[in-house]
Amino acid sequence: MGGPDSKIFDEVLSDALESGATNVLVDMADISWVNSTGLGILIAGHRTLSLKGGVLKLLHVSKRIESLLMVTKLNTLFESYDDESQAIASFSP
Amino acid sequence: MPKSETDKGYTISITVPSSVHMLGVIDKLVEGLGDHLDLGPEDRNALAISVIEAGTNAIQHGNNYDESKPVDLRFDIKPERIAVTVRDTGQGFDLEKVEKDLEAADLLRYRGRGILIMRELMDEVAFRFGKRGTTVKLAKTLHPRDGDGDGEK
Repeated sequence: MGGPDSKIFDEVLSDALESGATNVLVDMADISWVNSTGLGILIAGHRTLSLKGGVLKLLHVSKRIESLLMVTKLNTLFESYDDESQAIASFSP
Repeated sequence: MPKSETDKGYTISITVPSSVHMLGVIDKLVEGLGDHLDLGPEDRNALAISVIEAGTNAIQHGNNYDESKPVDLRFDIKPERIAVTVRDTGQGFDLEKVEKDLEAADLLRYRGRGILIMRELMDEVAFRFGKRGTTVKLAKTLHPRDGDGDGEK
């Protein structure tokens, strides 16, 4: 993520926000790489959702992307899960 | 005694247009290189992430997404060390300012992480700015995989 798909992700996220979503779970299963541009999009999504009292979380993050999140300390910002039902349950108050 | 010439070291060079579509191609190349060199996960991830960042910077900042402008990548491979040089045609940037901004950066800043990422993951990150363009050289000492292949000695 951070290549030509970035625009698509941005649009999907914007659509979700416009439809009133405040909690978003991003399934990274098909994402083989993320660059700093992609991280920027995730951060922007986080920021927007935070302002609405919501949160963005990650699902199925690969080891490589996990390394990237740790190096940038963004692992402290984004909760990530390997199990979808656990991830969804985590949004409940 | 090396078994072949490539045991002593060799170079792979490619040139790609400045399109974000090329990042996936570069990623596949680095992935293939990781397989060929039988790199452990730590080296593999560090190399892939850093080269993608350097490629992104070259395409995005150096060449402004102008597909007519090339990005040159050169992989100098030796048995225990790999050096990757990425060159764009841009005039460079104020490295000192970027690094100062990074020091003061908050976690939520949108831009500027690329250099931080490369510096964290590679043993050497060196920029050179010239009339022909900007070059970043990334280098990493490779760690031999142990018997169970987890990349740790």
